[in-house]
Amino acid sequence: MRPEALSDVVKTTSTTGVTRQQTKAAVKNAFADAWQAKEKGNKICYTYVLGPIELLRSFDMYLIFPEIGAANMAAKKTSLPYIQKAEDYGYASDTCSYVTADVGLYLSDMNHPFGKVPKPDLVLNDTLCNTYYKWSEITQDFFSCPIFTLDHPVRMARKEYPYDLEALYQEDKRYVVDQLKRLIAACEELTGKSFDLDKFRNNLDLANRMGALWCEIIDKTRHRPSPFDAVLEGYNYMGGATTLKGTEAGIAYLSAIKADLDQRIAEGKGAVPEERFRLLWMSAPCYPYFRRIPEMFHRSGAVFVYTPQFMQPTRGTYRAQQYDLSRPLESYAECLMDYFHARNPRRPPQWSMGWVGGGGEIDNQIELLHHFSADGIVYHAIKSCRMNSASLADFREHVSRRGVPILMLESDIADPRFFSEAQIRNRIEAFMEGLVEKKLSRVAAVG
Amino acid sequence: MIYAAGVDAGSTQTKGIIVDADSRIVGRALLDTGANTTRASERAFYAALADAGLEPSAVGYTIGTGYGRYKITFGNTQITEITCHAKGAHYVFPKTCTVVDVGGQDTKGIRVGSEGEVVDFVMNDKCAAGTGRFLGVAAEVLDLPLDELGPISLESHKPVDISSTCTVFAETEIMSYLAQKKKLEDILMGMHQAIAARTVSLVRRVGLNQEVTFTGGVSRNKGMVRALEEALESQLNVSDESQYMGAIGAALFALERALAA
Repeated sequence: MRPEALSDVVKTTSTTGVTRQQTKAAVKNAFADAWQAKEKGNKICYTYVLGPIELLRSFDMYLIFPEIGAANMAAKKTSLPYIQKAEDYGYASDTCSYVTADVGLYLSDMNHPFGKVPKPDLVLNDTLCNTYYKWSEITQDFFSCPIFTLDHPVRMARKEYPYDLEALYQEDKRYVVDQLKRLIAACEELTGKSFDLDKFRNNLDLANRMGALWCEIIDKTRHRPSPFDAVLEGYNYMGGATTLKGTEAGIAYLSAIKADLDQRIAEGKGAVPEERFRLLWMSAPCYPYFRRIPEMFHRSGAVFVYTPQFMQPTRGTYRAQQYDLSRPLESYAECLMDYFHARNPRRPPQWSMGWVGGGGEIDNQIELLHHFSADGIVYHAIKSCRMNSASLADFREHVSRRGVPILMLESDIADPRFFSEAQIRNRIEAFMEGLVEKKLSRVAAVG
Repeated sequence: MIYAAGVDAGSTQTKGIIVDADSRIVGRALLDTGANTTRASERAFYAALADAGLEPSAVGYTIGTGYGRYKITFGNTQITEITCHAKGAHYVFPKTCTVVDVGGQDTKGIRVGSEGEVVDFVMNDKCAAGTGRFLGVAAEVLDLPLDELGPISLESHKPVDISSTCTVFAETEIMSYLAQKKKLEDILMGMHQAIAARTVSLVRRVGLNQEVTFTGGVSRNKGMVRALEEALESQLNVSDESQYMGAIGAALFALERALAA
């Protein structure tokens, strides 16, 4: 099929009705709502996607997520001028493009395509990503706001390691609980409000319910045809689930998505007109070409059915983390640690991207493949993030050795200059030709 | 008698192949792509037909491949050159397990299955260092015809070390070696070894399993064959048909479809 014929291709259907409007409105109004909150005397906190959202919300802080702001900029194809402003200022082009897009925003008098962004009263980073430290320092440089760092220990696990993992886990948990108490004290000082444990518990309850809904939603791709594409629609759902974590609006949002999807399943409506292949997607999307890459797969009848990044709204494990409301702080600490600690009480299955080591990561990916009846895996290395990308070459090799069709693509999350359409298209087409050939020979062998 | 055609519109050269119903190659053509891919593809197609002594109506199905495949407007459909190279290499060397394809700006490593199907592949991204372009740059700098680089390099006894990772900056390195009065053959073999090293490191990602078939325009270069065999520590399958392998694969796929129709 010639690229000129792309307009002839039926535009892949995506979730309609309430959810789409909700998503659009939520994204567009995010900053307007922030100003309203500020006027009411609430504090603005910049934090990152795996931060202690529920705790911060119990102080009525309005949360702004720079990562999501940058992703939205890129999806609107407006990130490049911001990135270039940051590069003119002195940032190297191999800096994470979320950071450079954000710095570009600071240098543009806080004018984001979706509106003016209020400055932070606090920036809270956590140890999901080491770039976060420098990023918050940059934010502090610009706005003279305090930084709070939440350190959740990363513990690798290998049998040969000569330490008592259980003892370390308990010690680490005490450490994290202690930090949460310090964070509470810092928030009390900043906001002038006392910590409301009931409010926090309520947010945890809402987060629990959202987590359960989220797990139901992501499992719906197991239907054939899959009612949504994990990349094209999934990342939109996930953006909402993350920003609305621990709120009633979040429950409404996910419930609406679930209802939409159930309807599509009842009607047999798939994300692609004719589903022929199902694929896993590894690592973040390319936001400046957000539709382009999945649609290149859709043309051959391939749909994405899962990405391990879907763990984000439940912060860690595939099966929803449920906070224990009878011991909220301790349970919160456990869940914060879950993502990174080898001694994860909810194992197995820990369908992570394998950052905690201990082996079994390849098995995890194969398990995922079977769980979603997927035909292959697409690994997307991004220039911005070594953490996301570094392991992919190894996964690619080892998973391929197990006979799984894999494709490696390279581009970036927010910088459009790292996407080469001709090269990407070529690789996708070659990969899809291989899948078609494999299917035909399977059919021939059986028939 | 039905015939099928494959046209490979590469970044540098366009190739045309005609096969008969018994998969025998009956016509071929090779010319520079130039600025107009569509025109080059048409000319290659007609030249291959002329070589076969056939009229266009004799061809039942035509497949376009190569980067310019969507510009081959007269073809029936397009298949990527990755898939076509695997098929073509398997046709010429049926025991092929790995294809190493070094072209004008692309290097590909392809793991090939028993039927000539693609099991896995890897290509260079973002950077064309270590591809045919490097040899083109060198030929310019040294003021030599491209096809003399290989034979001269074979005279080398002490190849120089080219350390630049960038093809453009390597030009400076070559000039400095010339200024140091290094022998031309040693400079050339140094370059071939640099390309071989990059190629091997790329192809290792899909595994280097015997037999290894070397394809693409650069495979005509005997100096490159030697450098790559040394880097791989094994023999390579090389054929005069090497640069046609994409077009051969395309023609064979075209034949399958012509016969199925």
